[in-house]
Amino acid sequence: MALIVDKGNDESVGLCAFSITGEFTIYTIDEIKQKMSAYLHLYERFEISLADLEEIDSAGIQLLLALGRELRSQNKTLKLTAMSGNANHLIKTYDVYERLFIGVAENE
Amino acid sequence: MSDDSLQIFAEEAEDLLSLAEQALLNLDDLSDEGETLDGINDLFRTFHTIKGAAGLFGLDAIVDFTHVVESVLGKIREGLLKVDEPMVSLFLLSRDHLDNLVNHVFSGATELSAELKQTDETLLKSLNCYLQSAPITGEAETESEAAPDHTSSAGTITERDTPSVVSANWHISLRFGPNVFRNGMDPASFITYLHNIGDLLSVTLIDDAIPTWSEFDPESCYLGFEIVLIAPNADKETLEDVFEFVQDDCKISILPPNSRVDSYVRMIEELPEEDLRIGEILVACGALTEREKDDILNAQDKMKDDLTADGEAPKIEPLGQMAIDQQMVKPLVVDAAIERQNVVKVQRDASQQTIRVNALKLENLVNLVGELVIGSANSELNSRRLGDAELNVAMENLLRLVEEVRDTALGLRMVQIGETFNRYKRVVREASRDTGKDIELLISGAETELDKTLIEKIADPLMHLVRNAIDHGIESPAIRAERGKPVKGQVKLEAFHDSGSIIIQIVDDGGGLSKENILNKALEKGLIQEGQLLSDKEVYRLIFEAGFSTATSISNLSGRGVGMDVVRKNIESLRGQVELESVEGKGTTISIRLPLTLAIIDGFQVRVGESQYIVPLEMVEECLELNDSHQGSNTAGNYINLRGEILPFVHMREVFNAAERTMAEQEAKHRDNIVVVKFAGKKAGFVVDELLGEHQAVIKPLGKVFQNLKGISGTTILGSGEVALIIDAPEMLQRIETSSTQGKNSARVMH
Amino acid sequence: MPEVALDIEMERADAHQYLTFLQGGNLYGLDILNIKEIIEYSEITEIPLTPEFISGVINLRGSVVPVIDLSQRFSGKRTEIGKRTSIIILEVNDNDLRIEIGLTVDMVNEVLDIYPADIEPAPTLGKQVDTNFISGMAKIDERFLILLDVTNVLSIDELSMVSNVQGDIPQ
Repeated sequence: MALIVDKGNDESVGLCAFSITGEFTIYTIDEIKQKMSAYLHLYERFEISLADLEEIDSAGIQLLLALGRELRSQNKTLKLTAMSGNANHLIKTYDVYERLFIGVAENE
Repeated sequence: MSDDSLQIFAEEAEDLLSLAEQALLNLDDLSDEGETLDGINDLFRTFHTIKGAAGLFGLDAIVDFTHVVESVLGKIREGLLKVDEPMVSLFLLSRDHLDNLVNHVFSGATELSAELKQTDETLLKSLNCYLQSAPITGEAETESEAAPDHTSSAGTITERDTPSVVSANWHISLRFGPNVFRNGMDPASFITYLHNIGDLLSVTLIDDAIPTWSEFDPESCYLGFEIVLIAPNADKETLEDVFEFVQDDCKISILPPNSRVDSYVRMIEELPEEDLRIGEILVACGALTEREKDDILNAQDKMKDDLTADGEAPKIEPLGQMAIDQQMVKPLVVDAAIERQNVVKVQRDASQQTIRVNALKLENLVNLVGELVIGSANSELNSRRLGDAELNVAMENLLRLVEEVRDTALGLRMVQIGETFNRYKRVVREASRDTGKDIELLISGAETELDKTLIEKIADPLMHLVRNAIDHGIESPAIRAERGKPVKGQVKLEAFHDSGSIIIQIVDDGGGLSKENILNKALEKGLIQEGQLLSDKEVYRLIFEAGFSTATSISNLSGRGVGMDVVRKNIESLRGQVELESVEGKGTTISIRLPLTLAIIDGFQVRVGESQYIVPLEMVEECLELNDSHQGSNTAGNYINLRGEILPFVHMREVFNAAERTMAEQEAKHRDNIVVVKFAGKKAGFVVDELLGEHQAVIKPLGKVFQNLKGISGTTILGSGEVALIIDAPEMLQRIETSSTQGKNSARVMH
Repeated sequence: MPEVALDIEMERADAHQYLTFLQGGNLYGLDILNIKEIIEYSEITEIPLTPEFISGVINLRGSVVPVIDLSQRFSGKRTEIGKRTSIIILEVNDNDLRIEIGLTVDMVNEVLDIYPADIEPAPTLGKQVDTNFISGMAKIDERFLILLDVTNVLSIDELSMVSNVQGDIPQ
């Protein structure tokens, strides 16, 4: 599993792009949260790509929801930019797609 | 889905399928209606549980197939179908197919193989034939009649006079417990499974419980759901079963269609979120109308106001009580509902009399206990030196307790052999059919226990021997009649303990073995020489030599290349022996002798050269120092005169290629010692350098690297940290016997 | 722009780490993935009637582990036990079972990172070391490092072809 932070991070623009790859399940969730935590204070806008996920379970979705709530409380934004098949399936099952788009205007 | 949960499912399924097989095989007397119905009920419950478990893990193929089997069984229960032989066979085939499906899934495959699909279709066709005989609408009617009358202990007693909600759908409210993820479950699988029961009108995820990011523990589950399910013909039990595995940790409310408003009141009360918020969610997901929500919230407020007005804390009455107070339901009904819930609970507790234990953990425990035994023995020795009487008594008590712990720990690994024996019932049943012979399997000593690892390893050799008995042993009914034998052949599996070992016997009353045939075959294969004289025992032992086979036709059952020599090797690798006895025309008996436990032995420590060895104590008869009086009259052979008895012996130094004696030893005219060993009627002496006394040893197997090493059955670690080798006494005795008979024979030939 | 701690995936294939050691004057390497631990040379209990290159077994914290004399295996000469002689404990797979085996070596060196790109296939070295055992060669600072293929050096099937207590007990 890896939490990859896009090298193209431009702090002045305040955008931080995560790409979560490999395993995003209860087994890796602790580590991923720790890694994410480091960036939450540093940026204003967050994008997450789940395109290269191999495995995801509800712990992963829960983490995303928790992240969403946190960012909302800080008036920051969160956007999902890409999905893998299994992530899509879970998000659809739970019908939480909208909840993972926080503070993002319609046309963005 | 994680490997762990898949493994849990596979293990559970395996157990259940095994039970199903037994139940099916026990349906041999279909005229006994009571017993047959019991069996069908057992089967129904078993398949129902498998279906539920498979559903949790989203294993659709298994769920779909099991559902049909369950339906057929359901019909039998209702008296709409009668059980007959072909049906039982069909169930057996279906059970086998399920077994294959489970294995298939466990191997990681996501798609069914073409072969499995084919079998699936064929079986389903046959099963569905039975389902078409009764009108399906009839069943639906009974179910929908049941729904409004549905009484259950979760407090949703539907009462026809009081207002019920408009929604004709089921409402399921879930608040998963914090350990759901850790226990290997995933909420998504439950929701997915509901698709099998009905259509999901809405699924609303409640994440109110997720704390702030810094306090958020990502491995805990904070998720809840409000679900509306369209399933007018479902029953509450089915829905409750879906959540069987998480019901202990999670809050679950299941409200049937058209429930009373009170049920919603109660549910809303119990949910952690604020009433208004929940109310809004319920409206949003379609469980309640706006009007109903308002009514409920008002009713609740009113109740709270009423009570606080009296100065008491607001107390919500249990719904059952409320219902009784308002004289809506008779007390009897409520009691019955509560009692049923208790009964179900008791049943569940009773079935938990066994517990799954990780095999490695158990092995660890046994190892530790072994160390404990050694450690306490050392302590006892040391304490004796101090000569304190009270301390000695205390140490003796301690030692006794430790030995009890040891025996109990070893006992944990003991399993009844009956489980393994029962497997062969099926083999015999099918083999009889295939060969056209009539054979019954008799089992005795099923409660005899042996070590779990032994059981696993003995299963294959046993299977082979049983098949042999069926295939080559028992004659066809025609021949049996000719010989004046009962047409029904008998194969007996017996197990019992005998002097520290367990004996397993396979006895058949078939044609027996012809010594002449065996001798001829052995000559042919060059295993013996012309004119060689052999005792009966030795003749029969030839069968176990590699390259020997008396089967004139290679039958399907026994297969090729799996000979008796492989069976023998398997058994010997377990430190066991196998022997065969036969009477031509009457039958054959094969006896397997195995040690009771693999883990700890009481041993006698000796020194040979520079190395330490252990001889299993149960086989040691006596030890003595060799002196001149022991010299036998026959100085050519290795025999001593033990109080008039002739005892063959062997120099362990030579056997183990020990180093030459030191000069000092030679000068001191070191006397050899001899350990007299006895096992299964054979007796011999092992000549060693020094006798070192009793020693309890935790057996550490030598491992695959040494798997072909004969004469040593394992190692143990001495108190000094040194490694001592455990002598495989039975093996040594066997070889001594063989070489001494050879010696005798060659002596005879020479004359 | 300040450095942000990044967890970047390597674009090239990862380097493997190898434990290097000296044996009979040659430098060898073993992939550390198979190495469980390294211990000082300790008392070995001989097991009778086993090939010479199986030195015997040792007691490793309650486990009985067989030990192989690498020098004996390769060149037929026994390892001379010196101050620096060590035993490398390996874990090898045999049909889903993990088996521990020890190797006696003259001296353990250091752990090196070696990239797959820097490994060349094994040349024929003549009789000294059978090339079945070699998975490749790497050049480190002018010296050649012989990378051993653990599964071949310690093929369980081969090892277990030990001699037995002979059928004829000496008369």
